[in-house]
Amino acid sequence: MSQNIVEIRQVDKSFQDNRVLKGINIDIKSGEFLTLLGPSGCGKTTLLRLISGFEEPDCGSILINGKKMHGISPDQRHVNTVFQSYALFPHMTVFENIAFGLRCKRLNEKNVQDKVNCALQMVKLDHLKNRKPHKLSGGQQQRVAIARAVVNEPLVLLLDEPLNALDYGLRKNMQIELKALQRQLGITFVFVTHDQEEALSMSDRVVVMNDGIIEQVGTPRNIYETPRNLYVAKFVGEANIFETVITKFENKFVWAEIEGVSFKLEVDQSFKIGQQVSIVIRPEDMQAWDNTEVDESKRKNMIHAKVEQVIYKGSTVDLILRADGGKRLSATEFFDEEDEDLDFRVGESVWIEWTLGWEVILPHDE
Amino acid sequence: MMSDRIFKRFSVGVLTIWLLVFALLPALLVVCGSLLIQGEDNFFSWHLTIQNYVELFSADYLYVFLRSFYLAGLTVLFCLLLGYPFAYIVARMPAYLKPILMFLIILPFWTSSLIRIYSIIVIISAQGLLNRFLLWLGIIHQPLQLLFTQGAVLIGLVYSLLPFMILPLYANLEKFDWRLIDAARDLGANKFRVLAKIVIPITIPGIIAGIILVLLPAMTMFYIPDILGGAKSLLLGNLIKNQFIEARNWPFGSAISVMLTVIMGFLLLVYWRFTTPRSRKDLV
Repeated sequence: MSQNIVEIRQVDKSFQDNRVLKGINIDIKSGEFLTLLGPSGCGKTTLLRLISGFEEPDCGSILINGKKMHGISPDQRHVNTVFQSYALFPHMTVFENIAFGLRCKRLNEKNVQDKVNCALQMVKLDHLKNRKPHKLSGGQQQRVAIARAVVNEPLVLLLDEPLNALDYGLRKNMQIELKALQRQLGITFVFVTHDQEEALSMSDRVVVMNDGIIEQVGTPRNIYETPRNLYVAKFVGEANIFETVITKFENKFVWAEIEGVSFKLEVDQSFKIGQQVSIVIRPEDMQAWDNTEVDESKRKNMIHAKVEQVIYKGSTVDLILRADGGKRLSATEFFDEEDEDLDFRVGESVWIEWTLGWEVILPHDE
Repeated sequence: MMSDRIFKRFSVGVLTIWLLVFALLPALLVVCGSLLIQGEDNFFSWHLTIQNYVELFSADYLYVFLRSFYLAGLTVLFCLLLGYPFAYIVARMPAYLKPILMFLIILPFWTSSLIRIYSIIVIISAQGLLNRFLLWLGIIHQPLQLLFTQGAVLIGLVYSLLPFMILPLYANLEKFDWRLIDAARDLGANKFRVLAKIVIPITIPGIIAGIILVLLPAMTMFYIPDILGGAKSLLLGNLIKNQFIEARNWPFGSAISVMLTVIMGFLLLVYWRFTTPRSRKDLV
């Protein structure tokens, strides 16, 4: 299972003078759910089109199942795509749409019927098989597009922002269904999205892309909890970022001042005194206490701030805070047995701490 | 609001009267005329008859009908073979080039069609540009006798009617969702299959509209056979013209006209059958 189904080696691609991909290297493992995550224009769709064969790399190579794909047209590649706008054939019924790929391969009609019916059942559309696509809802069209691709049993299924056109609730459902489908079929999925929440919740591995390069590859947890650089930290999830310098470094601990308070932080790499660093703390790792909840002795290890905005979200309360030094912070508070009463008022003075060790220290690039 | 409504009523009213007076009334007159016989002094004599229609089915006239159909059919075929690739290529051009290319298609309309047909003579006559060019190339050793043949009429018809094929095809292809081609390629279709199973079926309404727009004029553009085909080439259009202008047999001319209208109605029926309300709307 751990064998590589797609290998991308030093791939470069330019359109006119615009270098869209710069020396991309990725191995996609057989059977995994890999997500290409990045803002629009980062090259993720281009990378997908290189795998499907609609574009050829300027240099570098792409191997699918160990075979070089150079010069092999899309119809000869054993990969299928679910397009962003579905691109269903408007003149064909649902059944004919799904059968199209099989008929291109000249399977006998009995086989086609069986496979299409099986795919229809899989996406729960058997009752609509004689409809034309324009008579279907967005979610149903989406399922047809997926069935049309997976019925061909591709080595890799490429999905180009397939959930974009769906509304929030449907989108959540389709995320779960897609993930379940991927497990059931065992097909390698390469999923493109700019939605970090979607990427984190569905993928086995996430590839964070920015401006034609890969910033980080890792499991969703890995990406979120230990971002390799500031770009990843900012793009994936919300983050409070503190710019500061290391004041002291002593066997596995550094001291740094954040918002006027000196913190002793555990590290597993070495730092120089005076080195510039960014310290990243996720809002949900920040805890806010009001004046009555913390006494003087604790306060000296906390950052003092004022509440600027309280956003009630049901299961959480998001706080927008202003530290004494003027920095804007955000903190997400959960209702739990420790803190049932999240009754923050705008203008209220609060004390902020976080679980030491949950911060990420990113040295500045030289 | 008030003036809006008045304007609406006024314009709809003018249009209705216009159509009644200049379209429906003449059409009715032609239908009525076709049921009368030729008079001694005036155009019509008040004798109700279907003789004109019976006469239409005589071997001579059927032959003209068939030949007209044959030539019009060939015209449609060539227009389609030339127009479809052209419309397809233009539709795939970058957006800034499309209006320029379509402008070039429409540009010849600024010259009288009669003059354009006469200019074809200059090109295809025995001493014309085409023959001289082919002789110079050494492809032929004797000038081709093109002028005053059916071939010349065909060239004239295709030349004149090609834009009427291109325009509806282009309107259709311009709205074509090119991502469907990617989808079909992705599913394993080669280029030929993409064309046969995706592009052509989806542009059928444009193809039928183009066929209708070319087929009918091709049977009735009498001046093209007159100029390019000499006296030999008698088409439906010539027949009607001759009946009205030379033979002065208006009732019979009317009957032929009605027959043409019936054929056109039949073609529209076919168009209606092969298209859905959606695709018809896409076309305009």
